[in-house]
Amino acid sequence: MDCEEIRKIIDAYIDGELELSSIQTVEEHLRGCTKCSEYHERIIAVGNAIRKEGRYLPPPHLHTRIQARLLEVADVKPWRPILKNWLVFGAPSLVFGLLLMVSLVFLFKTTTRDTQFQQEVISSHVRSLMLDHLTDIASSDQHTVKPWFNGKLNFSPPVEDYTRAGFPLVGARLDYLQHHPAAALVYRHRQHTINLFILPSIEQKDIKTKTYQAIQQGYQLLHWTKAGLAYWVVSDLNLADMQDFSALIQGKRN
Amino acid sequence: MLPDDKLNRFERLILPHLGAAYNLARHMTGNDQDAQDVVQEAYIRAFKAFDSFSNVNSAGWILTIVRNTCYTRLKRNQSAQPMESFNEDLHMNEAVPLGSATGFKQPTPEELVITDANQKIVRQAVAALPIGYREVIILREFEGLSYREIGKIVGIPIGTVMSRLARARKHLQHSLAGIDHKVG
Repeated sequence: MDCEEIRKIIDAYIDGELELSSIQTVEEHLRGCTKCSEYHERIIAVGNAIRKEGRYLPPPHLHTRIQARLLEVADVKPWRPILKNWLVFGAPSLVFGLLLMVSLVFLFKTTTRDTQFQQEVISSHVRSLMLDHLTDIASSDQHTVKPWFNGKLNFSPPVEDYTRAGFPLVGARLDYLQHHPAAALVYRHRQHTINLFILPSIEQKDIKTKTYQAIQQGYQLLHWTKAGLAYWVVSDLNLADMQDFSALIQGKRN
Repeated sequence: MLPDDKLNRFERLILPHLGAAYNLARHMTGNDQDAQDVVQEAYIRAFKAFDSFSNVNSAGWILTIVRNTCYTRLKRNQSAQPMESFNEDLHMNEAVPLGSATGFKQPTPEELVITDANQKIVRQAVAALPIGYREVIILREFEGLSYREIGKIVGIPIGTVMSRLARARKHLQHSLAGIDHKVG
């Protein structure tokens, strides 16, 4: 084989794609030919350089994010009240008794679920403050942040920047509260970080703002629902400032 | 398959290829944000299609989905300028001389020197490759896939895999001249 023919199969030789007889032919030629030998080494060196320097590593939270989305796609559905099924049969007193019992169960489950949810909100807040996980998109421009959620959520969260009122928008990320995908909008007020979580609400009516305090951990939560969306504000900010912020979000103040 | 079993199995077999998936997507789309979106989208799609996965060659399976998702995204991003499909003949005719016929001097391996800018140079050199060459060189050099596997992912015959690799390597030799790449 001459050099030109060898060069045609040298890639296959390097990549281990040649059958034995051809391998021997190539090796014989390389032993006796400096030009082809150098050519061979250059190709190997290119591969080495690519492998050594060219790899991009995924950002650390990509893995977690994908796992969470898989969970969502796999099966997890929000808990729904079973109240309806109990109303169908039975004598009035029995119905009343059952109704009472189920309401209590419902209330209990709701309360436990609410507490779990509040804890989850705080945990998400704390996790986000750790390095590299505060925002997936860092921008104060609501016209950049709002469309970023397209295709990532099945609802469109309202996004606004409140820099003039002292609450600049820092950015946003996709987050999960008990496996429900949520928009997490990040704001700052002086040195405090605020997470505003927005996700679809199963409540039929709007709920007025409620305050929860996790005294031991030093965080406060405000929660309300409006027009089918649930809002959770969490921060270590003082209550008065948090209430100001909530009023801004709810459009009660400019 | 029960939902739990399916998810567990998917996580066990497919999630480990996340690094390879991201690397491929990052090189193909050219930026981190698109790469992350592509990988996420590809994994969801893969999970939904997991019942049709034949249990063989999980890397090839997920990387095919990632590669196709990249192309969809690239087409979408360039909707103002429609992306031309890779023209084999056009690129084949780019003459790359055997020796120094055009005056280009090939460096000997000994002439090469280590620089710190290597990472940037290497990444830019790969990024400068036409996408049809880029995807095969990535699948070959980073993932060590066989010509047959690469052909399956990209949808081309083995001979075409080899010729694209050869072309890609010739391009890269020119761009990477001056970088140390010790053999072995």
